[in-house]
Amino acid sequence: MATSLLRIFHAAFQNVEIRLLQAFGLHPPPGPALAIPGCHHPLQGSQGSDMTEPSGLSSLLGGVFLMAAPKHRQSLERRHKRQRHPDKLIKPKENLFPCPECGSMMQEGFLCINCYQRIKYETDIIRQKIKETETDGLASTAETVVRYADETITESDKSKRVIEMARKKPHWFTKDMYDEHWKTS
Amino acid sequence: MSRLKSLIVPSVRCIVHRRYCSTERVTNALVTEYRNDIFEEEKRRQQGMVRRLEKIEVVHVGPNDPGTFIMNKNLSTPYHCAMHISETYTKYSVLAMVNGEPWDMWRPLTEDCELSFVRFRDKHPEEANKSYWRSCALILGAVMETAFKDTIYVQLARALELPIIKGMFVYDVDLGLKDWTPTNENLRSLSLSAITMKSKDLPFERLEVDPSLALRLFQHNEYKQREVEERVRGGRVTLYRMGKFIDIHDGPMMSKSSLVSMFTVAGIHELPGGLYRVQAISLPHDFYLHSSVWNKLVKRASVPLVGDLSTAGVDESWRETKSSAA
Amino acid sequence: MRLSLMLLITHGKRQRKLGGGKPQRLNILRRVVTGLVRHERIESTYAQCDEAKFYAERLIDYAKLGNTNAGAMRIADYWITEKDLIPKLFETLAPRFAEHDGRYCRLYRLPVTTQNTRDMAVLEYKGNPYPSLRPIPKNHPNSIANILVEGLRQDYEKKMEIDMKDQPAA
Repeated sequence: MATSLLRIFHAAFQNVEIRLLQAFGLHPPPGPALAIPGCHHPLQGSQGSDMTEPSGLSSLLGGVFLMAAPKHRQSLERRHKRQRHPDKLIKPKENLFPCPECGSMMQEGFLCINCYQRIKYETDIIRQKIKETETDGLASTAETVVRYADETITESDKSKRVIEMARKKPHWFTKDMYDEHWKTS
Repeated sequence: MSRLKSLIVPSVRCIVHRRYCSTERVTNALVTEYRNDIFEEEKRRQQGMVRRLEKIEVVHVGPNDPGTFIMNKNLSTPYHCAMHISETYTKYSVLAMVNGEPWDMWRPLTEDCELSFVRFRDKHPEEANKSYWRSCALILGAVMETAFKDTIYVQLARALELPIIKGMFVYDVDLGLKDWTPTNENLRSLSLSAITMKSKDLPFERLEVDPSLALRLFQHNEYKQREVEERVRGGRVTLYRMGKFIDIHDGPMMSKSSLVSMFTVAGIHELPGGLYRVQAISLPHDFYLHSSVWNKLVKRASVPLVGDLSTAGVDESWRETKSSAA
Repeated sequence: MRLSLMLLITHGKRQRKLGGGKPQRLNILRRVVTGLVRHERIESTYAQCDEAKFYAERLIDYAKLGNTNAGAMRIADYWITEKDLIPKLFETLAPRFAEHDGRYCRLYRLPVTTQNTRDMAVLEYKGNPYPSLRPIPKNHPNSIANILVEGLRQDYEKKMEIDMKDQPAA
């Protein structure tokens, strides 16, 4: 449906283009290309008729080339009404609240930027260490667990690849509780 | 100067009983004005005693926003430290922990210390919860003092310290009435006046005073005078003021009245001694309970609590009638 | 007016046009999925993460068939551009999700700020070793609302006990 409409519009615009060019005499008029007696050509003038029929778009508008233009200056009030319409104004965000973890403001449905940057920094360090363990540059097929200086590895994690971190475990570092719940469910 | 002060000679310690009142009637409004005058005077006097501004180092040891503040000794409070950190600390902190001890948010700091703030949603909010329950009892007292007409003189008897799991906080009040049962409209209007106090965002100011000054302040309330004698700690007595309401209590109170979100006066019933026991339940901000759950809690709080609960703390000597429990 | 509105309505098309064209779209998504398999948590535009999530989860479903399955290997070979990750997919990720049916990924949205004006998102496989992005739900049993409700529950149990005791007598 859309493509056919597009084609219609494209053809319409092409038509208008041709008519415009014809009006300026830059495009061959519709009709036979050969010079057969009895045919008109706008540039050469007609051979029998005195009146040159206006062709193309001009013919529709009575011979005067016109396009839409504003007639009057828009008043200040009207301009303001358009520019300052409530739909156009930036709306204040009402879904802001303090993050329960760090207290900085966050948006409902989005991550807290403060917490995310904190976690991202730590994740980058972990990733760097993972890269260091993969000496041949190929990804390892073992599961990974991160161990901080004050932590001990649990039984289930002993078979995994351990990433040692020198610092104490940050208080905001949590393994997603949904992971634990999800694994056991 | 309040009108009542001119009637009573300050040097003479007396209990103004209703029968011996002069032509001027004792009303709660006048008494409140009188108490506030004394409180203000004492507060100004104590502030004037801080001659030199000494500085103390306060280290914030909370999980976020580490930092050290240089604050004024005996003048700066944990609330001022919170103002230096961020607005969320001022709005949502209930209590401060100074060197691990619970400390009022509006109590001046006296020495170099470690400070952290407690909120309702922390992992260990026990101190915050207890202070909240105490503060709500205070708000209930404030409501009772201001709720009645001038013809009734309300004397607050005792705020009982109950564990939160009981589901209510209680204030015993002497109304001077007999056989009065409140209607639902009365209870609702009492609850609403508590909510107006919440919207006024009143801080719980703390003042440590001499017992003699406290006795003078509570001149018109014999029960409070007895309480002053009981609550002397280290030769001093602690007064709390919320707006215009002044009461005496030991424990730390919460920071501001705006931390309340729901407050319902559940029931008022007459005790054998002639006092009225007001029972209410409240919920702090940031907690949301469905109306059905809230109604169940209010119904539970409206069950009359009988028995002498004058001993503070967890006391299982309360009795409940089986029919009212159903 | 009506005609232009109809142009804007996609009428059931669920795919986004990423990169301008079908092969470019798949190339972009392949890169995203490969990055996800390698790092298990990636940050990209919301559009790319949202589109890639479907393919990342389907990839796990195929990987669960085992690396001896020719079809699964073909899919993995196409989608994972860095070939050292194919063993990781079959030996690490597929066994991790063995007992679970779908929903292997999580998608978080990042807020739009003045420093970061594009709609960004974080896509991750569940069970990754990094710290959790989701804040812990603050619903401790010691919180005041829980204590009040616990009191209610204890009263109810007491009442039930009394009723049970009364019943044989009645």
